[in-house]
Amino acid sequence: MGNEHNHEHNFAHRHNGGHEHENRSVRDMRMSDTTGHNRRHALECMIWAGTGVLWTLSGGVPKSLAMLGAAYAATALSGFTFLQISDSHVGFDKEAKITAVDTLHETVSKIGALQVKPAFMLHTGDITHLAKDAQFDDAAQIIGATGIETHYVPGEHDLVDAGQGKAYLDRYGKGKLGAGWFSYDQSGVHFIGLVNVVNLKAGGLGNLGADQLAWLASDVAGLSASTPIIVFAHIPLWAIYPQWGWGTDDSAQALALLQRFGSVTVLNGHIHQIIQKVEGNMTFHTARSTAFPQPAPGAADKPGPMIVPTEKLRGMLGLTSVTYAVGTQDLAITDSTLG
Amino acid sequence: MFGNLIALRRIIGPVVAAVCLFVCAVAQADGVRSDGVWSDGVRADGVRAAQVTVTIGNFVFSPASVTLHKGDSTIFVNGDDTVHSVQSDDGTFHSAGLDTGDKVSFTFDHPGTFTYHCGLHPFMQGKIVVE
Repeated sequence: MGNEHNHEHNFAHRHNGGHEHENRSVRDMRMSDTTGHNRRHALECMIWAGTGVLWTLSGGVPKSLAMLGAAYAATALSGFTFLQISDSHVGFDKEAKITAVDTLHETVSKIGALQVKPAFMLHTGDITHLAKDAQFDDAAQIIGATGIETHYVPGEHDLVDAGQGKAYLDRYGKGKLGAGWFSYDQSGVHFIGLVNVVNLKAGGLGNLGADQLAWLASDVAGLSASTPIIVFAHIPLWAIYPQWGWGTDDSAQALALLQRFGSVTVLNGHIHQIIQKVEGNMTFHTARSTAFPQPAPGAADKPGPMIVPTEKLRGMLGLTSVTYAVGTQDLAITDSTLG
Repeated sequence: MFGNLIALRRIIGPVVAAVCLFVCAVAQADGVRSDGVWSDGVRADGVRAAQVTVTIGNFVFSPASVTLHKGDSTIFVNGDDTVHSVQSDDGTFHSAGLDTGDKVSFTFDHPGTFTYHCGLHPFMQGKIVVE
């Protein structure tokens, strides 16, 4: 799985600002196997016992590293690995010496060098910078060179064509519903691609809408609670920094529909950096961009591209690998940088 | 494509640009038109009218509120290093994505108050009052 130096555990890059609750939540779960005093802790203890090992690994607790090895071993027998890439912003060219096309090519090269070929890829939106035909064409050509099936959800940048999303749906709407939402099953895991970037309201955040929520309710209605669920969407489905629009207005309604499942993993993009939280049976994870970094929440006056020296840029871009081992309901999430 | 049109407009003048913007970029309801850009106070159709510039910078529309007379227009200029758009809250008008340096103009033929936001960053908001 690549160079050890390029790997890191997610919590190493978590940001404290505004996330005291999440920190506390994770800390509580870590301690719950020894201090399960109340009902909530008891529940978390059960979750810990049932799914906590790799789940803890997804939170990057170092002492569980041995179990990560076990997970990969199990995967070799009966699981699979998939990749998440995000925010490729093809067309972005504000860096001095390197463009989003260049760094997407580098990402694809890195994918090609992986020892274990991923079963498929997810792209969590902002494929393009301006939803231009040429940008969509370039992205499809570059990503297609991996030869790996890729499932897409749009980012808001993919919908700024004059047709307000027509360009995206013409390319990626086949077999999908509404603005492009869909689900599929892979080896017993249920994947749900949601669209929360359409018709954003003044002063609001990301938005799923009533139609999509109704579909989601029906989509998961027949599933066993033991079915592992992976949800992916562009804008985070949790409030990371609403002042910058980094959240989804009606995400709580979507998550409520998934509450009964024993393992729910939510993968998002949009913020161009890794932030993760674990809450109850749900793991939330955002991926790096392949194009440019953005500031940590509140660390700058406004969001937007951070122009950094070229030699530092590759260390701030990257992709995410997720490994699922059948029978454990557990997912190991590993982020790596381009350089 | 839109960015190319804007470059085109700079080169070959306002009349053609008006056509391109109207055809390619923006859907309008009654009373709001996308007429392209003019610089001398005379629209492509010969009518003398005012044009007020709203600059987009650091994720802010400035000025946040402009007041026009019927027939006047507002031109939005994106001075940021990321993409923005102009989206009226009621869906009456919208632009495509504006890259750095891109412009779009709307002409208002009827009185009314139009609040708008950025379609990508909806915390960015502004208002146009047509008297």
